[in-house]
Amino acid sequence: MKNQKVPGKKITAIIALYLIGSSLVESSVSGAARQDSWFCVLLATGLALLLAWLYSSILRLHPGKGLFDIAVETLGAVLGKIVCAIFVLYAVYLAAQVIRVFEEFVHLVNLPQTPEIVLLIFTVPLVAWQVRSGLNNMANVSAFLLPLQLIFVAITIVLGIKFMDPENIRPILSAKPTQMLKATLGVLALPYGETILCTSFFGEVDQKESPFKIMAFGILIAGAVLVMARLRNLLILGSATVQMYLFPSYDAVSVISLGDFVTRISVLIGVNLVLAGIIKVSAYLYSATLGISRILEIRDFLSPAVSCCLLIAGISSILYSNILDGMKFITIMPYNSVLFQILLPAVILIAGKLKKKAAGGKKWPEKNR
Amino acid sequence: MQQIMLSAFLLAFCVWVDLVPLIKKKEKKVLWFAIPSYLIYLILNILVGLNVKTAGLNQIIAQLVKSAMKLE
Repeated sequence: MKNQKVPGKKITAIIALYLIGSSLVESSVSGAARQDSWFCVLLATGLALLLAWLYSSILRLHPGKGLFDIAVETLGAVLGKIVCAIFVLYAVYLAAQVIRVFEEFVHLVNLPQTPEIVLLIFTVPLVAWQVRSGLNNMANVSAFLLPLQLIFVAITIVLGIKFMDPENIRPILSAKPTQMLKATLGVLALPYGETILCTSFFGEVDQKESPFKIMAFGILIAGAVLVMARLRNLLILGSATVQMYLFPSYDAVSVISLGDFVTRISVLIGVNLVLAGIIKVSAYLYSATLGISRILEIRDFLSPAVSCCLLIAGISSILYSNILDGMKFITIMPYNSVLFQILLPAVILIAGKLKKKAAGGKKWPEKNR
Repeated sequence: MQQIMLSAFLLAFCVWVDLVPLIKKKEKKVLWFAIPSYLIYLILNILVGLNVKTAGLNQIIAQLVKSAMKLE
């Protein structure tokens, strides 16, 4: 399984879905800019390319290796494994967060009488077995789902045109610069900065393909979807109403109807977001599993997937008492993301460059796991 | 009680398909991680099922971040 290289295009699909999967909660971090929040998402997409450049610089120094192998190689066994453990905790925590939000979403909009644990009974085995079946399988699923996601979003935009009011996004660029900055950095951290965890997949990606191109395409596809979805929500609901809803995409699309025969197409959004969410949680779990295997030096590197998924499920149940508290916390997440998304990758990059310089620019020795 | 029963069902399924094969294969390194994870899952669900009030993990992290970054 390890030797089977995954094409870059499919990794692009994983990254795109991974980023789109956050759109459900993304409004909470960019909401400060109100009607200009779509512009903040656009700006954040541009800035995310800089992050992709940072992450791909790390990968270029160590071709054919993933984040965890690189961390151990550059920082040494002890410090490297500590950094791996920090990233594993980050992945587990984010996965728990996403599972909980999706649980709450399904519970609130579709199955209010069903206990949330029932949803976990279906989600945990699905995600765990998706990860156990390997990156190639996950990539194939993503490559299949991404076009569907794009079609569904396009349908909601086209059908929603009748319900859109251009006045809802006027006056354009009227938000205060500090609000714009806060919203932009918020979107940059959640979801774009989370791409750092996807760098752990690159040990299984074809070495001939450029990591920057793979990440940048994923970010641009997701950016286009997030900007369009944000504009759709604002144009249909208006910024004040968008602020009131927990899941504005779902509520904006629920307004849309075409005569008496095309109604309740918000189901599409629900399906879309849950599918993207499953890919997102799978990506976190895959990353966490790789990290655990690197720390414990486990040969069958996907064998901790099920136990890690159960751990994520357990943690998701103690994150917060209700969804409103959870949404409040999302505004704090950009602050704690700095360590994982900028500081640690920068340390790994600098350490890698220094080590390479000390080695006289020689290539890293190939080391099998 | 419902929470505990349903989480025990999920746990039993995972033990059957994942933990038992790991024990049979004597994958010690994986078991070092797997057994504590299963136990944490069980304990957390029992606590939630018994409605034990715990400070949410998010709240703890938020307080840590706020004090570290001197946010309001």
